[in-house]
Amino acid sequence: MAVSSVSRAKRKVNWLPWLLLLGIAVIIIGRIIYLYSLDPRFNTAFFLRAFIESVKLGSLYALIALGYTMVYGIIRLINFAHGEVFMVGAFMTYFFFTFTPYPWFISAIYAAIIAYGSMRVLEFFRGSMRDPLVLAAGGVIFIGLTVLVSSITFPFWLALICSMIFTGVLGIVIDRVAYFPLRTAPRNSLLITAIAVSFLLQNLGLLVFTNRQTPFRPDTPLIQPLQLTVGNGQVFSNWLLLAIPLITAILVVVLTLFVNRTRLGKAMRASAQDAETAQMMGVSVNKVIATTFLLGSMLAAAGGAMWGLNFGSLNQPAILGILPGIKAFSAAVIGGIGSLPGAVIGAIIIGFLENFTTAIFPKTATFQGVTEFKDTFAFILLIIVLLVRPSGIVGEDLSEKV
Amino acid sequence: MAVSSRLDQNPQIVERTKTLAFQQNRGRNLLLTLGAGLVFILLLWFFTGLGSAKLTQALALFAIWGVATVSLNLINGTLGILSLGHHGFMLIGGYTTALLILPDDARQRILDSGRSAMTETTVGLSISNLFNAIGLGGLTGDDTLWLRFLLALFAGGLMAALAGLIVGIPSLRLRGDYLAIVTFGFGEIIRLSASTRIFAPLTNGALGFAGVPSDFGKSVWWTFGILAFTLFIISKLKYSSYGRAMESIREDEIASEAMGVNLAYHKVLGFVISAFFAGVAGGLWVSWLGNARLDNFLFTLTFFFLVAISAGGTGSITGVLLGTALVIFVRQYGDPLEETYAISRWLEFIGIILIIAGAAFLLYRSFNRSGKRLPDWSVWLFTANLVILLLGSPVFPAINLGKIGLYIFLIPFLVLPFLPNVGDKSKGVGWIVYALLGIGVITLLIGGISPGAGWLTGTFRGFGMRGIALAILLIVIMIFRPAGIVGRHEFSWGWLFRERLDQPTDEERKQDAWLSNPELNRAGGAAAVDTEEDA
Amino acid sequence: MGERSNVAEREKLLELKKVTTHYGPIRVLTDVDMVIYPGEMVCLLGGNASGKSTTLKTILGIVKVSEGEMYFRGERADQLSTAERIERGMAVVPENRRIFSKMTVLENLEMGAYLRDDKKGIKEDMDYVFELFPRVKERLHQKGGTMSGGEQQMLAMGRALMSRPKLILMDEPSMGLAPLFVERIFEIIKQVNERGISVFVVEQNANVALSIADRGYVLQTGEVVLSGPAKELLNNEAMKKAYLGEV
Repeated sequence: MAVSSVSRAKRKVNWLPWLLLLGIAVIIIGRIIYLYSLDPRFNTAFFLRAFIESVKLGSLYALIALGYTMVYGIIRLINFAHGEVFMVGAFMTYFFFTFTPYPWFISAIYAAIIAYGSMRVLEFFRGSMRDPLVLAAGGVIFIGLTVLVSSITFPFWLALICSMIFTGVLGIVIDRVAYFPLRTAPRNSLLITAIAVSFLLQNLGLLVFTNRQTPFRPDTPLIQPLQLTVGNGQVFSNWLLLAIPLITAILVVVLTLFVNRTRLGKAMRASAQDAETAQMMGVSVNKVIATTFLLGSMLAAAGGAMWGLNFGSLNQPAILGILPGIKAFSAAVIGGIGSLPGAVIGAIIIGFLENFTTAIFPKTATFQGVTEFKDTFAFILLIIVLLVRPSGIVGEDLSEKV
Repeated sequence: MAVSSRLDQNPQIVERTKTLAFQQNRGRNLLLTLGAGLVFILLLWFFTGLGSAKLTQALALFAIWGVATVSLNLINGTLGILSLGHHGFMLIGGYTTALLILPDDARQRILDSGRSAMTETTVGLSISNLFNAIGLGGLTGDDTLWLRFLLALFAGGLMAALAGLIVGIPSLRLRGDYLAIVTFGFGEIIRLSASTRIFAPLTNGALGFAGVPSDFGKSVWWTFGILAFTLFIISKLKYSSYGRAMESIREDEIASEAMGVNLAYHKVLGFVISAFFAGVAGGLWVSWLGNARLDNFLFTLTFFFLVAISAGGTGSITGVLLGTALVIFVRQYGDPLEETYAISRWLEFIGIILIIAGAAFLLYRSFNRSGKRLPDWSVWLFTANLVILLLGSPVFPAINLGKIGLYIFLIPFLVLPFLPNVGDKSKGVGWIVYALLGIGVITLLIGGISPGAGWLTGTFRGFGMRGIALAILLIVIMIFRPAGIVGRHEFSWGWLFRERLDQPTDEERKQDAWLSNPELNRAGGAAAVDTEEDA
Repeated sequence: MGERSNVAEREKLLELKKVTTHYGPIRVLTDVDMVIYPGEMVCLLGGNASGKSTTLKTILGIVKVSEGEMYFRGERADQLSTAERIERGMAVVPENRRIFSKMTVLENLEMGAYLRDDKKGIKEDMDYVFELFPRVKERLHQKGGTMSGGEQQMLAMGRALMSRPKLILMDEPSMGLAPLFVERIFEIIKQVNERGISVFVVEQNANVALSIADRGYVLQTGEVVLSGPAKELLNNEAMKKAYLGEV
């Protein structure tokens, strides 16, 4: 870890990446101007829409990327299974708004899990699971949900919240069962285990949903059409265009406040820097790690639900989480792994890379477009960043412990 | 604890010096190996003669994937670098081989289909055409197909080796997790870009090549022959100075560099050789499949290899092959798992699994905690029981235990952990395990006793059960026995005769442990961190 | 606890009884007996790999006791987790300070008080820390990693004080510090000790440690070979030869 004043002293301003960035900016701006003058279709409305769409896509990736970056910050694990957690979150949301009401027996099981998750969340504010308020809330939620799940069809927003908490608990369980026993194991073992968990979740998903696509069309105002008039053009989209970035922003702000202001959040930051010393301050590092998984998984679930809304359907479980997972991970690395703002920045960049470039280099009669490469972009960028500047945009020099 | 003063007095050391001086019996070992080879060939001939296509195919696939896993282990096990891109190398090798060896009629069909991205030029890239061009026209007939296939394999291996060179370069700068991700990225980039317009003329995009000659991939002689060759090369490498240099890199890069090991050379060498054999395996794989399609080269492939390596034992080639056999068995013979069964039968199945898992865990915990070894007879009983249950399962439909028989053979699992010498309940085994056992019994009973009741008659398809089984297996291995079943023990004739020349004695083990100062080497000491906290 | 026998026994703050610890198959500490009374300052001396750091880690709970017992404030403590021991009144200033370099000085101090709820008490203790270490107060909102070694040592000590401990464990406080600083630091340690907080210092620099400690123990290959009042140890022949150097 960075020791004393040496790390601060010499931050040579490397001009090469800035030059590259400038070059890219020039190309993009030039291209925009070219398109603008070329065809009235490429008007302000078009570019505005492309811009916001990219932010929207980036927001979705950000929700996943935050989970990666937080877990890596504390236990230096690339949680391969996180993409699958995102997938589970999406499908759980589907479960809640499609198959409710359930028979009481199953409702009780769901309610128990969600009550437990809620208690873990409330624990942040009250300090302990045994606090009377937490226990009371747990009981209330358990009973309330058992009733709800067995009697009504869930609206989307309720399905979202329940799915977030459920998936959060899944995150805790994965950590406790698969990663906790390997706290002192070599890193390769941990990574292999993460891959195994990822594979397990994929196949569990296949077991339940087989390999068909699942339509995702809940009844919610968010997918109502939206029409904006910009300049002399129109933007035809739906409310998700604004809702997704907004919801993401709220979640990110809440997370940041939590990490910076609350005691448990400070414990998380301390554990990320020096887990053994944090232990010496009385921090239960295992609890901190569990909390990290809880939060990261909750965000990923939100991302999953909104992903489903955005695309109107869910790919088969063995595929849904893979590409977004890798892209989100790339985002976290590009932004600076271990850093929350870095993950968001990186995700926005990836969103732009994927979406904006496709918009400004569209398929024409003479040009086949860049769509078929867009997935490769993320991988290539990831490898370049890892080779050239592994600490990412925001990160400090994370030299491997020699 | 000075060693030097005790050399002359320690009887163990004196004994070892004697045996070492007695030289490994090379002559005897060679004869034994040849003899075993002969026996093996006879066995192969016998099994293929049985007429079961399924068995022959499984054997051939075992050999093909054996080539892949053994080569992957060169990087993962010997070099200690986690490489996740092996499927990419196989893709390159497979497609190269397919392109070069595809028969003319299949090529014509590609052109005729009109949907292909291939051009006249790229479609014409075949070894036959090459031979014709350089005057070897006589070697383009069907009788010399084997020669051209061999050359195509070799070419595939070379192309893959080239890719291995490229992928190996980041290994010079990156370590651990990041390097693993980069290899994964490369694997995916190879697959994703193979269908883009840059490479589609060579790969026929998403359509791939149909009609690859499958006589070679499905032939046990070809596949085992190449496997034998691979084993020969890799083991020669592993037990040479190159291999030792690689192992020292795995143990401690900085120290080995300080001792003069050229990191770059050995790492890249490892990647190139490993990729070469992966490419060869890829060529055999497309032959076994009869076609070359991108969907056959997903990351799933590398995952299977990882399971094989980790379950078998990364430290030894024998272990890797054992693991590969296990994975092949699950893949080829695990179909019954993925059928549709009544829910009651699924419940029975889950119940049985839970019972076995619970019993195994209890036995393991008591063995670990109380410090005594489990009595051997209990281990044998457990294993034998397990085998019998396996034989009686739908995997081998010929043998049928019947419901009563099934229940009878489950009883030992419920009884063993509670026997006084065997189980040790004093050290507080978590309630979860007993709950597991209990739930297992209940589930079994629900499923077994009332198959006709209501929702139990519904059916459910076990789609993906094989993947689940392998994934759980890998997780369990990582947690309980990360060294794999076999660990670092390599099979050798000396081992069979209990010569144990290459194994350290207990005394030496202790001294090694003391020398690796626990204050400096955290990984070397046992887990001293408080891992028992309540999460 | 604290039964009175005929010979009036002082209550022990920390006691190690025949403690043996292992790293896997290797024995690191053998039959270690140690006592610390309230208000005392005890130092633990010894060469490299003598087991000094391991003793500290055992007291803290980072290393588990294989045989033997440990008592803290009258209670059996060797089965407790680290967090529980901190809660019961231990605090530690780790080797090489180990402050949280990306957190501010204020946050570091707050981490010291992690297990406390009483805002008033925390403020009082923080004021005391500012009194002892004015430099820390000056740099309150700077990141910990920007401070010099000596300042970090002060911060680490302040952080330990923030939990209002009964016993402070210090691991080689003099390491990497200039001699002048070392004197300063030990003066402050003495000050803290005089306030009634017991201090247990693991040190290589036997001279400095013995000059202010009440008692000392000497470890060699995991066994206690010498113990007694500091003055006696200073004059002990074997000590002089091995650790104090011929004058």
